[in-house]
Amino acid sequence: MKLTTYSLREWQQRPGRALLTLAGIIIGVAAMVSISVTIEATRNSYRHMFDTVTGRASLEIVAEGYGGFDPSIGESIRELSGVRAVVPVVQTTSGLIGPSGAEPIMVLGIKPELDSPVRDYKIKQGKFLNDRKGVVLSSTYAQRLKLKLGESVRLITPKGLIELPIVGLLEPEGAATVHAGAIVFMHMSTAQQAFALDQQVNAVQIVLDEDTNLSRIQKQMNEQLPPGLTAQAPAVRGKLAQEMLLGTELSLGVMSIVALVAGAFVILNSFLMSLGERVRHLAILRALGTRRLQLKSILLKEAAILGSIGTVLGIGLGYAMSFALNRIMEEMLAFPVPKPQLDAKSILLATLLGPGVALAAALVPAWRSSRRPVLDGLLDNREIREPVYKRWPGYIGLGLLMVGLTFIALLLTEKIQADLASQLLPACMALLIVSGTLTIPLCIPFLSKTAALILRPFLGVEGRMAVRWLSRRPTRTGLTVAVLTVTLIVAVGFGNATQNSVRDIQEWAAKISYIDYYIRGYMPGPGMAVTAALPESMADVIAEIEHVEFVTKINFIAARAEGEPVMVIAKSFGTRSGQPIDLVEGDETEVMKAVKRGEVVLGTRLSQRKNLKIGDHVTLETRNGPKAVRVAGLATEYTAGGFVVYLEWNQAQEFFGKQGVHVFGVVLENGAPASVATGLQTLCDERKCRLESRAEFRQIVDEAMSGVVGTLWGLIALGFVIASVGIVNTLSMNVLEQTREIGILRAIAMKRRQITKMIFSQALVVGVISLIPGIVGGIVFAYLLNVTTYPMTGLRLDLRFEMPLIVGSMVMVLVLSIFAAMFPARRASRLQVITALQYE
Amino acid sequence: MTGNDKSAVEVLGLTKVFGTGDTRVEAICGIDLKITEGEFVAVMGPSGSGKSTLLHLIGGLDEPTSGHIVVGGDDFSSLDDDALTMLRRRRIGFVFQAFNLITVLTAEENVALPLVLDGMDEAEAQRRARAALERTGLTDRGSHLPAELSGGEQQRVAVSRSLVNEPLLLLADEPTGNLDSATSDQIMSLLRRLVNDQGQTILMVTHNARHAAMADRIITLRDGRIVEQQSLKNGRSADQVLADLESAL
Repeated sequence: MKLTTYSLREWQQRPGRALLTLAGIIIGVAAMVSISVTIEATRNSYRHMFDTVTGRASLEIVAEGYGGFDPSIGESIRELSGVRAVVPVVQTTSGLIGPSGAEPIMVLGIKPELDSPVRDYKIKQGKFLNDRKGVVLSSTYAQRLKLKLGESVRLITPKGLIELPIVGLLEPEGAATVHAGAIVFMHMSTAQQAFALDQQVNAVQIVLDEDTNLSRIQKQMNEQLPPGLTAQAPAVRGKLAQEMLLGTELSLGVMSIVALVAGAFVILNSFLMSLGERVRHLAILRALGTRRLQLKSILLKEAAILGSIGTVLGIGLGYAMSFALNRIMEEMLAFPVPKPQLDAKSILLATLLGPGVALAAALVPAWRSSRRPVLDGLLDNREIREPVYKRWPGYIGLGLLMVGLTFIALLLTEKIQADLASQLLPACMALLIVSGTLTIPLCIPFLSKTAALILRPFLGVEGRMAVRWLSRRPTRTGLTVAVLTVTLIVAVGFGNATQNSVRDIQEWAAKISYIDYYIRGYMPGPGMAVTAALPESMADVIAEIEHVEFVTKINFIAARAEGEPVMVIAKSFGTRSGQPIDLVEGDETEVMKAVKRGEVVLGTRLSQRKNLKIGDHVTLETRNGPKAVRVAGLATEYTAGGFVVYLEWNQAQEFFGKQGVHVFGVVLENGAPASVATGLQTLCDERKCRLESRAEFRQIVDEAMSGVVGTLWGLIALGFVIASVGIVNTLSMNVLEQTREIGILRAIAMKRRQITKMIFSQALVVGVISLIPGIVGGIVFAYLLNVTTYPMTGLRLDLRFEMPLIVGSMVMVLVLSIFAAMFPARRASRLQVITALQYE
Repeated sequence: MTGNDKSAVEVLGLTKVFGTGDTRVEAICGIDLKITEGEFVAVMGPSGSGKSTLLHLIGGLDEPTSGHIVVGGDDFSSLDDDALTMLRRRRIGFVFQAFNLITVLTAEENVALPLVLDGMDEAEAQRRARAALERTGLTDRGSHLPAELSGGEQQRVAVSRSLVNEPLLLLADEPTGNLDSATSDQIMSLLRRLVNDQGQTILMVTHNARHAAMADRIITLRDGRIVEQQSLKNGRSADQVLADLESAL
């Protein structure tokens, strides 16, 4: 027999306890893994998309704003030592007309005779682009859209709708796998013609010799290139999209830490209970000569084994959950996120944190067990006592609370950089939650009395007994209350903050919706990684439709400002007063005048990140080199995460070249008849564009928000699941310990119904006790999230407390408490009196 | 009997006080005691006289308030917790009234436990556990869990476990307290045989005078003090001993 046999038998004896402990670990690890895997998959989707397109090229030369330039610029680069090949391409996005309208697709215009150093193509059917005609598609993509060799594809381009024959289908390898195969290859001359680039290209891809120092040669190239052109790594194109995702990643990161912390509380509670049940066994082991260290080692090994099993199962569950989360991300981004892959980082993190958290949670119970006097557990006539509650963890909690609040104060007074703050905020929020819950046991006596006072009229003598029993087990009660409190804090805090954000986004969408109709190729994702340019001439055609007051042209241009990737929103501003921009600083009339003069309006997040105010100058990297432009106003902007520069249309054309039009905004005359919509729809049908009314645009925003809100509710539900595991744990243990007392109560004529009521009362009291710190903590948490939003994002959100959410969370906690009490109450009420009286 | 004059246990000026102030109770008040190797000593006394406390102190399960306990030459006061644990593991065996078996382990595993804790090879521990069970007549019951055994069998498992490390001293705290009279007699005979055949030193607490009469010496405690010691080696009959005890108590 090995000592682990003893542990295994204990688990067999009490499978429920082992399973509850495992549940705590599994849920915590699963939440962490699913979030980590999804974030990684989303990041990779952006990073790899551009890496895969550029194949073996390590660098690419692009113009600021990704406009066209003369490819001969590559000639001087070719001479540099270490450069193996210089391959000009046209790389852009378009909409391919599929059975259900335009689908986003990447376009790569190449010269086949020059392209082989960068990419390999394996033709599955047909031929490649050697005779300059037609297009080549990925066979899997063609199959999905039911397109066959010899048929034609229609693409939305700045020259209008073009139709090109499919001359070849590629095996799904290399570049043909980009964007889930949504890539179309054509000869460069075809692409130049279709995308209005004349003799220009918009990227020159550079393949280097294997031993070439990348940063050195990049520096050499940038020194040699004329202003407005830059040599960069291909993945830089996805940087803005990744920046945008930071907010979502941050929220998910905080949630995963919270899930892990809540899981740790459940594990700690389970271990305390498990060791409480095994006091006699542990005492026997000590009496037989088990050293303290040996006992600790046995118990910690148990934690490590459970932690490892829980981690393996948690990784599996987390991986399964990541598919659902991936789907939500896809919905949010309107972008194909590749199948989630269990990456080494997630596995390593889970492998360290799962058993680590289990061990950390078992440390104190194991230490306590090894220090317990042998006779305490050995003798029948001594009550198995819970260790006397010590106040020091509460004081440590108070200390940590101060540390967390100091961090918040430094953040609010802008003494910490926003970048650093965003990295530290999840840990700080977790610290605040942990420290807050550590201090809860300090308040348990007060909270118990309050709960007893509230419940006295409803629960009678059973309620009073329930309060007494809970007070006899302050640590256990405190830990359960802590788990419930954490859940409430997260539900109320995050729920409120999210609702506030959603409302702000909806208000923002309403403010900028002075436009009656939008016309675009297709609805892009928030990353704007793929958009189709429409012909600029369409503006005149639209304007000629009766009752159209004016047409505004809008482009989304990936650019750089102050060295940061930003989205330039180029707009032709109309004459009607309205709110095309949701200004937070600056007089509307003056700002609009200034923008028409060539000044810019910045998104608040960019202004915050770069500390730019009205009157300052922002440096934009343009095709003609850096240009300092005056800041005329600051605006709330959710596009591209707020890293936005508003620029007047003509100014943008000068800075970044002509790139077609991504969106036409149509403003109708006051009192325009409904038939105008029919006219617009006819035009869009002809041109295969998408027409959206203001209401539809708002609906799209709402749907995007519902994805975010859905994720949040999912994670909050996860918190409630963890909390219910905690309550079941506590009540089951209470019932076990109360077995003999229940026997006595039954013997002196307490009815089964009354026993049931007593157990339900315990659950209800725990629930009520946690309501006070949970709701107060949740409101404080919501406030902290609100006030830290400004220094982090530059957005000033109105703080409104969502009463339905707060009341709903309270009701949920009480319902959950009662629900969790069902099994323990059933067990208690069905105990046989004699068996209960003889229970050891 | 293989007894000799070499001391197995020496207790000097032993006191144990529980509580403070109004709740202060002197459970053991300055006891001096010597038990020689191979001797079977029974401790008797009314409830609260300090019998079990004395046994726990000598077993190193509780700490004395003052005084010295020396078992096999090791003075407890000079031992830290680890050393005391090792002494318990290797030199002292325990038999409790409530058996105190680990309910999730089989009889054989319970017996092997002290050896496993001592790091002994698994196969060797198993072999010795079987041999110990054989000595108490439980060869066929090794694979059973405690719940599947009768009270007498459980106590015999406990005796086997206490002997498996060949301890210098076996401490038995009312070993028959939870058993019927027939089973109690079997256990007492077993303990007696251990002393007679193997020279085992035993210190036993009991309420049962008839069982106490099977020892070599009876110590009577009252209010934490030894009030009488009787040697049974002088050929006195059990009835005489019982009569003396009644008058002492």
